[in-house]
Amino acid sequence: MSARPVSSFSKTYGHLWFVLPGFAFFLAVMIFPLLFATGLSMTNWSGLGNDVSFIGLANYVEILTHWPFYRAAMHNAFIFLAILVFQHTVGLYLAVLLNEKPRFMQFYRTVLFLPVIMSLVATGFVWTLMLSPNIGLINPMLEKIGLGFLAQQWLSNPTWALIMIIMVTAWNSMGWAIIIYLAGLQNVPEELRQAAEMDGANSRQVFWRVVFPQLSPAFTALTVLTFIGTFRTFDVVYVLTGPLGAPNFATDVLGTLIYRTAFGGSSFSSADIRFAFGVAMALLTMVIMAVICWGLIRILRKREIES
Amino acid sequence: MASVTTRALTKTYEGSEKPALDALDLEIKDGEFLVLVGPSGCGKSTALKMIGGLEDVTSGDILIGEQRVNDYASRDRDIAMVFQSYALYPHMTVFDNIAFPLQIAKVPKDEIARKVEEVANILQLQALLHRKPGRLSGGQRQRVAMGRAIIRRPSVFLMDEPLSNLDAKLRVKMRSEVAQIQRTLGVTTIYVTHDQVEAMTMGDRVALMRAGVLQQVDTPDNMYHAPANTFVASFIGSPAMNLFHAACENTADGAVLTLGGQKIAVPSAALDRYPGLKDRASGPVIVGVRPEDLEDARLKPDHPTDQVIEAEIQLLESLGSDHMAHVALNATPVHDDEELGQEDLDLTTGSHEGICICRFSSQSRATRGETVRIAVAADRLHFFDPDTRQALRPLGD
Repeated sequence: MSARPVSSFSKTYGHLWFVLPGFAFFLAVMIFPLLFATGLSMTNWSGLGNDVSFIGLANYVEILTHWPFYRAAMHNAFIFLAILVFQHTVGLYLAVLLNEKPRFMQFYRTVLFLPVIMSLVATGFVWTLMLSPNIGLINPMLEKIGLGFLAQQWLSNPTWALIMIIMVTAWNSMGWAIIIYLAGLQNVPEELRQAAEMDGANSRQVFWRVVFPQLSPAFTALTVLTFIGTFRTFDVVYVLTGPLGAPNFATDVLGTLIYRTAFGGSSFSSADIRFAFGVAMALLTMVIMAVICWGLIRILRKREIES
Repeated sequence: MASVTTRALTKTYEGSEKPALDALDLEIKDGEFLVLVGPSGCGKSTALKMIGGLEDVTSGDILIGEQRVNDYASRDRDIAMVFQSYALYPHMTVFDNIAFPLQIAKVPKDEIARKVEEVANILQLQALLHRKPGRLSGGQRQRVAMGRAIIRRPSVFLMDEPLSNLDAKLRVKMRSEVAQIQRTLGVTTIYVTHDQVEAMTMGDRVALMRAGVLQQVDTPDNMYHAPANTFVASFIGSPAMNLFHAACENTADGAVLTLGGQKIAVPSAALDRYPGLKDRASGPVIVGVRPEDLEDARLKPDHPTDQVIEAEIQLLESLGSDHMAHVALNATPVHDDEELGQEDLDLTTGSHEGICICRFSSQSRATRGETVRIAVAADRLHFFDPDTRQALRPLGD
């Protein structure tokens, strides 16, 4: 029996057979839904019934003049900036403390990372109870320690509601910041610190002039992840202030706006549901986020160290 | 500039009973270049880090000049260190790396620029000042690390195997450059290495350590020609000294050594160097002979006949200038455990079972398998106590 010679076509493209199962799966769950959604966003489908007609880019054009979209995006941006500052300060500080290998480090690390693995819906609900002006824990606690004047209608006051959303998100995501910075800190060679110390640097100078610059990959990763995370935020707002982003849309974010537009979920009538318009908003948000992420990575990478 | 003294310096790590460094006593004179050498894990780097303030002292004292510095932070000891990994700051240019100690000391900018220029000239780094360490070769990085160390003219340089990451050729070149810079600056230097060639060629004095204990500290010549014990004898020199168990008999006519059933007359010159041998009654002894003290007897017709042995050549390696003859001796070799653990051990170093290495001149026509007569330079033999393994001469000689 003689073996058939391998054709040059097989030699060049034969390996693609091995990629095919993965690619087929990717096609089915990513590319197809994306193309389907893109098609859908160019219609006026409400989400119910068979009344569908092609309207081109009309939905996208409408978004550009849709005030709630800008309002929600601004809230997202505000949350992003606040969380970013929080993670790069408190998160970094706690990571530095943990990197000093204190006693019970395992315990601290677990406690600080615990919120990350807990369900946001469950923790959000607990926070809602704690912040409640009637049955909550926070206001009575403030009164007991003589700070009763600070007691608030936490989730009904437009300013405080957004601050509470930020606080819960920060509490929930700080574990990531600590883990990412801790990993970065543990990668800084001990000899670099020792060399700086020998060169006369005090511990503050060692950190800011030698250790911190080595953390730029962690800084980049955390900034990009925070950006993506905060612009996708939905569950905290939904649980704490509801799908309308109460009070008076003061905590409305892109997630709740898209949800409300596409699926309703408000006390408004089902006539307000505009599924295709919601899909268009989601797609536009995705494209804008992708572009900003790309820009962020480009800018931040330049600061990183050539290895 | 300053002297460095350690008094009974000891380091015991938590959870370990055996000290990593055991009562190290060293006195390094002002401007001296001392090399700490020894196999891996002998405590040499620990000693260096303790002097540098990077390791806590379990007990003992460290003095820089007259000042006890045990409790001083590294930055207050006026020392500079070159690390094995160079530890260059990867986000800074070569200029900033070298200038870092001065920037920290808040030296005016124009003075920093002038000093960096000066150092860059000494180390030939002028063209690289704006590059980052990631874009430098190993040799260039090493030079930058040196630059950072010398720019502020510290009292003491500490160098932790700074050449071990370089290839063999560059290492030889940098060896002389580092030694040259040290001599020019005249800064007291403590240099750690596991490479005995580096130790012998660079240091004013060499301190050899083993398992945390200082074995001998002396000039390279004395380390080679008057080793304190069998460990020093086997560590210093490549190929290593041949060490065998032998018997010595003191007679009215002088001492006679019996090595693998063959007798060698021990001349008075050897007895003068090892008076302990003269004082002993006849009995077992460890004899050491350097490969260059064993020559093909055919090339030395005038050699005393009572200082000749016979052996069969098992392996012959030609190095061009010499032939390395591995001959079989019917004698028990002496092995120091760590001698075999040496990182540089290859076929030409260390004694193996009954094998003795001779360095024959290139004129020798000896062939493999042949039984040759070997002229032993018996006046240069070394003698050690078989129990203590110490040289049979008073300490300090």
